[in-house]
Amino acid sequence: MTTPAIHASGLTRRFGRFVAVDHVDLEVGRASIFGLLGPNGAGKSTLIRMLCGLLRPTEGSAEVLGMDVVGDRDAIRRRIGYVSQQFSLYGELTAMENLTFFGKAYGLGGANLRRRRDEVVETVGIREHLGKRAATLSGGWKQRLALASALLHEPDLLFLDEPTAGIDPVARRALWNLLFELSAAGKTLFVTTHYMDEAERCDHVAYIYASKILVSGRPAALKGLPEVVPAGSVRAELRTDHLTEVFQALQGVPGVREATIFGASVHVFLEPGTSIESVVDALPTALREGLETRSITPSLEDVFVTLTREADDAR
Amino acid sequence: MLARGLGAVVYKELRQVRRDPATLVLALLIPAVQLMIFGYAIDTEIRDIPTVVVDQARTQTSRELARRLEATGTFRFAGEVSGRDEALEQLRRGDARVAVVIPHDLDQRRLDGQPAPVQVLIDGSDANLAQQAQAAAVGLGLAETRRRAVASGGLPLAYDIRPRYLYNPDGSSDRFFVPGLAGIILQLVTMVLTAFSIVRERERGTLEQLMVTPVSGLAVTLGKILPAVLIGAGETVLVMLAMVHVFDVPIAGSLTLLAWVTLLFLFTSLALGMLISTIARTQLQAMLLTMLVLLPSVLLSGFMFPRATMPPGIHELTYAIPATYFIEILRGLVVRGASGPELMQHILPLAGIGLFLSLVVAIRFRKYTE
Repeated sequence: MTTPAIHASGLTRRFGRFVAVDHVDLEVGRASIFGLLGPNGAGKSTLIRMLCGLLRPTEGSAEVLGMDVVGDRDAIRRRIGYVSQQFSLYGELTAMENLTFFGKAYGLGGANLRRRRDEVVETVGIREHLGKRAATLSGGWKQRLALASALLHEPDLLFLDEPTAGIDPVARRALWNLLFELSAAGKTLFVTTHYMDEAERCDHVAYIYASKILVSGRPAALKGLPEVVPAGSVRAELRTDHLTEVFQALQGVPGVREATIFGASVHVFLEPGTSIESVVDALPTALREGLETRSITPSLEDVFVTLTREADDAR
Repeated sequence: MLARGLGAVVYKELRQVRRDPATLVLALLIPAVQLMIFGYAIDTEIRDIPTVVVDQARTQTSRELARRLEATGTFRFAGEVSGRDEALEQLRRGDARVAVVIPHDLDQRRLDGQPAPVQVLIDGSDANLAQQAQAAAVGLGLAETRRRAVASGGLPLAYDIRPRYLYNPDGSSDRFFVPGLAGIILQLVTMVLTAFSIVRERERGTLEQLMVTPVSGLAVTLGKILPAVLIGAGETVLVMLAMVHVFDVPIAGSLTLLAWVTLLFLFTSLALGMLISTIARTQLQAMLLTMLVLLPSVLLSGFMFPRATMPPGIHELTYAIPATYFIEILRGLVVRGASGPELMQHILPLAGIGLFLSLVVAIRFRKYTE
């Protein structure tokens, strides 16, 4: 089991002249949670669909669980599970019938099917909803059912394409707890998401922007990247009652590379050699009143905002 | 195994049908109801053509002639008009389709032993009607001539032609049309059952989920066709019952053979529906493609117009239409009582098309998400 769960090199997919995924290199370790982040249309789903064998790569190669995504795609299918972006179970069938169908589709039958069905029902805790039609379940339960369906054949690797999009925060947390349990049980999880708090919980994250992977690594390591935190630069948080005024005033202050509103505060990213005091001094007196500052370590969002800006500047 | 996962797909399809009983009832009843409506409506024997008479002679002979014309059943007198102009006006308005002009010197000419010219003006805008009106009118003249020739002991007949209708002694158009109609209706309703199935899954996103499972393309193809064949078989039983009991078209051939060829035809038209389903990207496209296939099935299969008279090119095209073979088989089996070996020339190509279509679908399905 020394081969990585996923290894991709130069993986590319074009749709006509549009390059949806551009020479992506990727390595996902076994039993880890790998988070793929990026804005809509960046190429997340296309990448996942290539790794699942749903789309043929235009260029490059990828191995999933040591098998080639093109040549061994039938063998790969038996070992992976896929929870797609949209709800993709049969709405008119009950939750139980959906599980039976997917179990049979993966070649389970008889006592084996009943045993595995019981196990996944237990894992995701959906027993009391088994008799309901899938279409009538809430978003959170639908996703749990989809997860249960993807787990029936005991896959080693699970692909989850924005599994928490559009479900409520409580259900979101519950789903993530489930994912941690699965990871602890030795499964590899490949998750795409928009949520930064979810990204922080991954062992490893990669950020895809405009079809290219800009950065990949452990969340902590990314926050210390030299592009994100150049030597001598400062990241600080400004707490103020005049949020928008301060934000606007900061745009014209020399030495401020970025200013972003974060909830009730403004995050600033200063050029090396610029101090936070000099920035505050540059603000109009009225805005300085009650202003509190403290230096902060960058969040993952800061990391991605900085990298996105650099990528845009480079183009 | 080629059809890996077939059981799973059949299980799912049957459950889905069970969840939607209204659709099932519609699918079962619509063919029988349509057969009854169209079976009554379509009648190629033209009778009671509204006819006006311009009787310029006004004698017993002229009235006798008019009576004989009406007795053929082809014409129904809608009234007498005073002159040719008024008759033409009635034709233009469409109140009458035929006008009969009897000359004033009818009796005189007969006494002189000359043929009496009776003008029959026929509205030619409906070619079929015009032909039958002409045939009936000319036929009456010939029959009259023959009757007189025989009565006067004059010229013997050159040929004594004695036509006899086999298999359909009354020349009933129901026997010709109803079996063909049954075939067309069965194709229509069954094709729709599958034409939408893959597109619908694609639109709902379940297709992708199905594709990441190890279920094979052939399993999806057969798994969707087989449950629909069951529904089609139910439809067939109802349609055949209506044909035999409502339209009095008895099944002259073997019921077992009829059952087998019907299953074969259902399979083929369902495979055609599946092909549409893999080509169409949206349900609207599926609908339009269904129309594209349907009209040739109705117009070129020999259901309405004889294929023998179709121009080259089109005639060859009719061999690619499954309904062509099924209608030939139905007419042969139901009306003429033909046996399996006698119908083999139609059964084999039908089976070939079915097999070909389902293989194409299975292969296309494999590539579908690419």
